[in-house]
Amino acid sequence: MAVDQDWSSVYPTAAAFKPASVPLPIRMGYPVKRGVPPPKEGNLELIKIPNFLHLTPPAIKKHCAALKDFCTEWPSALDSDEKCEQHFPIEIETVDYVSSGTSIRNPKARVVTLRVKLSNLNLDDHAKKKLIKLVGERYCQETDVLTITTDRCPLRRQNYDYSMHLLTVLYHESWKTEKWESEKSEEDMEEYIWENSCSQKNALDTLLRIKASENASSVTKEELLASEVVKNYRNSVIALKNEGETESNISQYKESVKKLLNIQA
Amino acid sequence: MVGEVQGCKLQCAAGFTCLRLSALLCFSDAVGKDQAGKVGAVQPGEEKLAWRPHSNLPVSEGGLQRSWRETLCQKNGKQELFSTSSVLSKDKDKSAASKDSTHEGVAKKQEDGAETPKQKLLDIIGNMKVEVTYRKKLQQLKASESKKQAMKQLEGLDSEGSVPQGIAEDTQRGKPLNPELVKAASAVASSLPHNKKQTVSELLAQLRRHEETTDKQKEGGTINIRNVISEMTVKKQSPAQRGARISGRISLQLDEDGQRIRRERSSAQPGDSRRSLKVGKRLNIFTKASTEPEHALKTVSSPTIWDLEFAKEVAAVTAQPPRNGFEEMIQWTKEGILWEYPIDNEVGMEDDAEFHEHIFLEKHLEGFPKEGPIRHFMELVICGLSKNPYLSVKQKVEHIEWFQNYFEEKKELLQEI
Repeated sequence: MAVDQDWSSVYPTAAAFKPASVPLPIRMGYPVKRGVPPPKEGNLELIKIPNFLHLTPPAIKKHCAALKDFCTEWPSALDSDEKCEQHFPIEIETVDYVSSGTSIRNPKARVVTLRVKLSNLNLDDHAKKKLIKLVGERYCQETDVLTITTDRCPLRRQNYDYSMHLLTVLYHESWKTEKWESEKSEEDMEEYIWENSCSQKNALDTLLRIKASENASSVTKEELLASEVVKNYRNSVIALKNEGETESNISQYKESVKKLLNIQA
Repeated sequence: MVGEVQGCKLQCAAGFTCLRLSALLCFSDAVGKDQAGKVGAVQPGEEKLAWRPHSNLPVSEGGLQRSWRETLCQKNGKQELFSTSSVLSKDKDKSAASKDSTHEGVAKKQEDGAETPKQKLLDIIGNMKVEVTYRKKLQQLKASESKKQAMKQLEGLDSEGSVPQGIAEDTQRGKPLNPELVKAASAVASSLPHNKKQTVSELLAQLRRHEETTDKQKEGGTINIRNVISEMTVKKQSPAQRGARISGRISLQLDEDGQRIRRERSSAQPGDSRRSLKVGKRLNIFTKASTEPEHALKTVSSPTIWDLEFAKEVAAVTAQPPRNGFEEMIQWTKEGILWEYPIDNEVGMEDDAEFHEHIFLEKHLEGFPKEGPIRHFMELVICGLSKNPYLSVKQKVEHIEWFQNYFEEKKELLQEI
């Protein structure tokens, strides 16, 4: 083979290894004792394995150049991920399966996954909480992504329609307020609210009793609530409950309790 | 041999189109040959044919000539040419016969030319049957010479009457007509119990045949050739015939001679049958006369099977083996060996139903009671069905209906309980 021959015309498509066509001195196989791996001529090991001699970088360049005529340009306005997300907040994921076999069918191909960030949806506080309650596990707190996976229908397009239908229904339902939603109790709350909680009650009771035992001046609840120590306590408790136990949270709680109970230590 | 072939063709009794084909054959073979000899060969056969029952149409050479002229006359815009040619021929033919004024003949012709379609049909039927009366009349006529001469003149007039083709256009023949002959013919006809006009036409048809054969023998070949040439209009060839011929040529290069001949023959035959069936002026008996012009061959608008076959043949002949792997892959994809990329796992899977028909099945629960264990059970069934992607909507509905039937049957039992 001449040195300047075009390799992509020797191996245009996937083909078996031809030792006469490939000018490389390749050896492959288990060497006999005190020998070397067998040479490429008549080497079944080289023929058996799949090779990528048809996908050298220049060949791939040629493929891309040929395919370019059939491609449309990426829109220049979408040059960053944030812009893509801003203009196209919903992501649809479908999978096509390639296999070597007689049948082209694959039942897994009908699955459609829809992903959307709730921040892109127009939801107020109540709607967001309601929607999160409705979807349950499909919502991820950390990434604020709602994932809907549909595979109940036999065809992909039906599943896609169904997923869009679900998103629409969720959105509209979360904006509605039903009568029975007013019966939401403390257990149903998503986050800790200090107002009307036992912590508030206990703190106020304690403070009142302290005040009563010390002197006769009666202080109203509202004044107590407005006082700074109580506020501090409140914040620390909320932080603890909502965010979990971190060092800063606990130390903050300690300080607020000390101030509340007027303990110097 | 040619004459025999011709005779065979004539015995087919296929009609004028058949005659025309035979005329073409005659023409192709007769150029440069002795026309008289050929005609002579046909003559006895023609006589026999004339007396055969069911030979409804004149099948002689004279008949051919006449039919050529008539078909020529039918074509719009060509009457003048034909009339001149026919006049020329007729003038030469009739030089021996005694002729009188032409005007009466023309007038009479026009009268007869205005026959109704019904009359034409009757003429056909009349020509088909009754050789007996025919023979009798002929004998009577042959007895009187004057009548015979006059009838010769009348031949041209009633030739159209007996021939069930378009007559209206053929008013310019200019053939002289003897009123005595007409009177004689009508007298003969009225004497017999048959349809008057029919008998008259039959008589004249037979006489005409005789006349024309004599003319032909007198004339020689030139007039016939002229007629044939004038009849030889540019006919539209159907694409199938063209394709068949081209394919014949192509195959000549590749196949043996025998194969080529076979192919030509086979390609010619369907063309022949097609021409013979569709050619000929409509009688407008069953349907009102349509205004569409007559064509010798109607070209088919959509590609016929022969066109498709021809295309396939061309593709197979011109197809080169693939030069590289990509062309091989293209060929495999066309054949169906290779899947089409990008792969779609749902190729060919058709399901016209929408997602709501699969999932929202509550509307099928209308036949069930609104409350109770049955309802509860059916709701579970529906929930399961909606999650099943392997059934079609029809199958799901059938499931529900089965349950409905089952519960209907068990209703009595359930009510007892």
